[in-house]
Amino acid sequence: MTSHTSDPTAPTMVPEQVRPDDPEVLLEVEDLTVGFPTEDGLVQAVRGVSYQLRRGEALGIVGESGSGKSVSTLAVMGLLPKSARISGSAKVAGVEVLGLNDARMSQIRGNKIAMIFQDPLTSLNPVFTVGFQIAEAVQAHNDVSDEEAHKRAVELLDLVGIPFPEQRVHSYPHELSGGMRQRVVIAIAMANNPDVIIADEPTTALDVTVQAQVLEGLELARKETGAAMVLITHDLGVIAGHVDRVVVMYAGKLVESGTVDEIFYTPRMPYTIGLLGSLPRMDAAREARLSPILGTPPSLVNLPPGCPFAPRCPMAEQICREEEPALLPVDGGPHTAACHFTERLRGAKPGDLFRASYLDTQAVEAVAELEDQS
Amino acid sequence: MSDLARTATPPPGTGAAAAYDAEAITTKERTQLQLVLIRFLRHRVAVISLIGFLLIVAFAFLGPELWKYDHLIHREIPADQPPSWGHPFGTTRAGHDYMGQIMRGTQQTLKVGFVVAIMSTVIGAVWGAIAGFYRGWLDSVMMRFVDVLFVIPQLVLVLVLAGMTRGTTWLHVALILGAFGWLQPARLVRSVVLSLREQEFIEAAKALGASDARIIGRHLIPNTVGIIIVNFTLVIAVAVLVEAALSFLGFGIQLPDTSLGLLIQSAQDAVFTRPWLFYFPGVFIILICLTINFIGDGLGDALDPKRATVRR
Amino acid sequence: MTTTSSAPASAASQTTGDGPVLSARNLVKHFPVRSKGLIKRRIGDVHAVCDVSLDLYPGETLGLVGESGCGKSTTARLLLNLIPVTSGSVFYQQRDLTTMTRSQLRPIRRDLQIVFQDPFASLDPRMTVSEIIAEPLRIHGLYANGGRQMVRDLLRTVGLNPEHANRYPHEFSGGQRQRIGVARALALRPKVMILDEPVSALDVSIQAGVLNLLEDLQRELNLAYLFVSHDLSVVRHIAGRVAVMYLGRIVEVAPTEQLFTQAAHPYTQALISAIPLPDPRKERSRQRILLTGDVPSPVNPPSGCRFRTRCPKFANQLSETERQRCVEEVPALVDRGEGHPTACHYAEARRLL
Repeated sequence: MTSHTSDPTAPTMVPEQVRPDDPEVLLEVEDLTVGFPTEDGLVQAVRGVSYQLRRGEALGIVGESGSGKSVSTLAVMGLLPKSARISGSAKVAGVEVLGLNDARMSQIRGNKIAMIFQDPLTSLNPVFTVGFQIAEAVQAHNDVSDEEAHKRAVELLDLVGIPFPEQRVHSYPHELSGGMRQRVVIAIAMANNPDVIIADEPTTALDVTVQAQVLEGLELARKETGAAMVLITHDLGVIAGHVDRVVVMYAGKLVESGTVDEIFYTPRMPYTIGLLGSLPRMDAAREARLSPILGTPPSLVNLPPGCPFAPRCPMAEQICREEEPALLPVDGGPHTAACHFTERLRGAKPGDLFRASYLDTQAVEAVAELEDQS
Repeated sequence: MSDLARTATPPPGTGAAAAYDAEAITTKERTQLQLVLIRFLRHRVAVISLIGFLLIVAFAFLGPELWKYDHLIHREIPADQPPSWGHPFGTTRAGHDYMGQIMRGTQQTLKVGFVVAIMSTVIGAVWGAIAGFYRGWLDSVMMRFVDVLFVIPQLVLVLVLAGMTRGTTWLHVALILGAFGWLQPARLVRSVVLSLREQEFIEAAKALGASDARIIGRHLIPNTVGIIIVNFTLVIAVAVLVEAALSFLGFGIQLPDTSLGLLIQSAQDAVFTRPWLFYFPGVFIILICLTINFIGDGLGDALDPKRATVRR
Repeated sequence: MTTTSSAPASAASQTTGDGPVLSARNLVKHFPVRSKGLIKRRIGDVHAVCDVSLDLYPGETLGLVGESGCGKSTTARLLLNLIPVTSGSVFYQQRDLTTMTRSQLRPIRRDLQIVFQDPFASLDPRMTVSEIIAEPLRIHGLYANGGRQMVRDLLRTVGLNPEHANRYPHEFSGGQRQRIGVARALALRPKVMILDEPVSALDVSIQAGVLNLLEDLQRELNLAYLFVSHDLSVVRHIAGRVAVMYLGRIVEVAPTEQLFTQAAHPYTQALISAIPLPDPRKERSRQRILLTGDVPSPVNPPSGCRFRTRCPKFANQLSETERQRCVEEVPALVDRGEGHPTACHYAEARRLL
């Protein structure tokens, strides 16, 4: 991998050096709400989400399917269907982006804020070479010649760690492996030195050994552009190693927020605790039994009042079914959690809360009995 | 930690009844048929077309029982009358009541359409399902046969056959058209089956030890029913048009029986002089085809299982 | 794993001392690559599975891990004869399944069942849940005698409400559908269950429930599991022994604890080091082994050791003559002093966790 030296004769696409202690807030989401009208009613996919992202920071959004994690960032990017009902505010580098028309939004997308999607196969256009697609991204926001855009494309491929970039730049997407394709997508995202990079499940579709390479490519992209990053995933292992702060989403709302160490070592919301407890650990011996969270996430249509996690929560009490807990600070610090009983969860481990095995032993005996009879 | 053990309520999984609560399904229980009906009824155009089509069918099959005139010549009928109260569709030069003729014509045309559709769909579905399921040489042979038949100009062959069997009734016409109408559904069903057989539930059936017949009959064909039904409606429309063309050329239904195509043929000289003779059958053909196409559209959307409201 | 092709003699089980319940010997599967055009000629082969042998003992869980394209799913299907083998044998109760006709196989299918990965595609969308679970009973003529009650019992066994038996699959969640798949597989009271990535498509909190269910079922019904997965964390949790596959071959087999603490094959080591741990401190201080390059095409696998094109040991530590050996000689899956069979000429155990 060649090192990237700045060429004084190159056109001004190379970013100015950003001071590392600049606390500029690059992405500010406030009370974002998204609803989708469907035949069964209004699906409230996101219900009042707020978070901030500063320059150089990496924020992880963790949640399972139906938590609203992808929808909230798609709203920021302006990529939701027209039928979606969006309210609240989202500011990218101080500019409000919700409600902008497509023309204005196109100036911001790819330029100030870039997105990386899950499936590298469908993110790239199969009939154009990867070099063409990167150059296209560059030329969409910069008035430069084809040769300069091509040069930048080769630079970017090198930056994300693709070997022999001068040759690879002429390849078509189907000629590259999944991991390489995803790195091309990262290169496209980086092309205009965005302030914010949003990565939505960037490695979920990839093999584990390739995942490591792609995540490294993402780190390089961040370092090079100084961009802040939002990493959305359900994989807690990926979160643990690549972000500074974490927010946990459940049923369209934030239920816990803190530094990565706080979330993993001192969680204070039952869902987070349950999530950590249901993970099989590669570094743990076999005897440890998993503590699953019983039940399924609630339907987002006609949500009942109270905490959405109450039906599955072993600690649920009457107040939990009546009043939805607000996201409040825990121990006075920036760590916040949405639970009426965070105090009781100090030092709690998953095994303390979630116990049962999911099996009706009587029915199993009936089956085994039949077996003995035959 | 003991603090927690005291305050935590028993997890909702240990009691048998509670376990089921945790897995509660919140949508109402509906059969597949009900779901299809609900989705279909949401298509306004399709519903209107269905009503229109049913009215046409009633007109064609119940009309002759209720209307005072039939489709034959009667001396007491005044000839060449434009539409009036006594004869809402007018009369012909020879002395037919035109409404009686239109009723009969529509009936014969529709009968041809339905029979052709049933023949084509049944033969085509079975042919396509077998070819798509077995693949290999059987598939090649079966589909090359279809390809060869496709290449033959159908209308010419139908004309020749129809010419050989002078005195054709509507049934003859229907059988001849059906003999070629199954080619298109066969291809369609085959392509659907080709993609279906890669689905894991087919593999699961094999792993359970299911026989081929069971897999085709119990798994593949029910999952192609949606496509087949839509195709069925479209074949009716095509058959109606082809029959009209045949009769227009004189090779279809013969006098004294009548069909919409034959009526148009008889009236082709009268477009400007006695327009009612020409436009009524034409409008009926158009209405039949339009309504059927919209119904097919509505059915297609209603039957597509991927559009089912998924919980998660 | 020896390379003889006769029925396995008396390889003792760790638990009961019986022989293996299911054995594969020298399985090979090639998928032909055909040229386009009217006459489709065979221009090459995808070497999906090359000389795989394994034993599955009663009541144990054998994990089969590897990344996409390694052939683990194909191997699972070869064991059940869902795909015909190119060569090799699969022994069940001393009989070779690969030589049997379809009707001979049918009664045996009762003992060997499979649960698929995709909870959406593995259930017929046009059948109700009770029909889906009843189907195996009907196929084998067992439904008439109390079949309805069996279906209800099975639903309860997998943790579902028997009242919901008349609903269609699309009305259930992914985790519930997977349980229906398990219920269907259990209907015939099999002895062996092949689980092809059964929890990969499920959310993490749901996975745990299904994994616990599978463990409990195994204990109660003494089932043998072949658990195919790419997720090493899940495999460590549920499997007693693990076999690692790469590009159609098994490269290492070991009891679970040994594999994770003393992995000897460079690929296994890279795999273990690549899997992220949900533990920030450990993640930050971890030693990573990074692989270079892409997975080679299975149409044209490298000669000798298939892993050599990406092997960090090959690239950084071996001498020229040692490398020659890797290029020319296929490493056999034998114990090289590490305590378990490894297919590497220069195997060296390393502790990575």
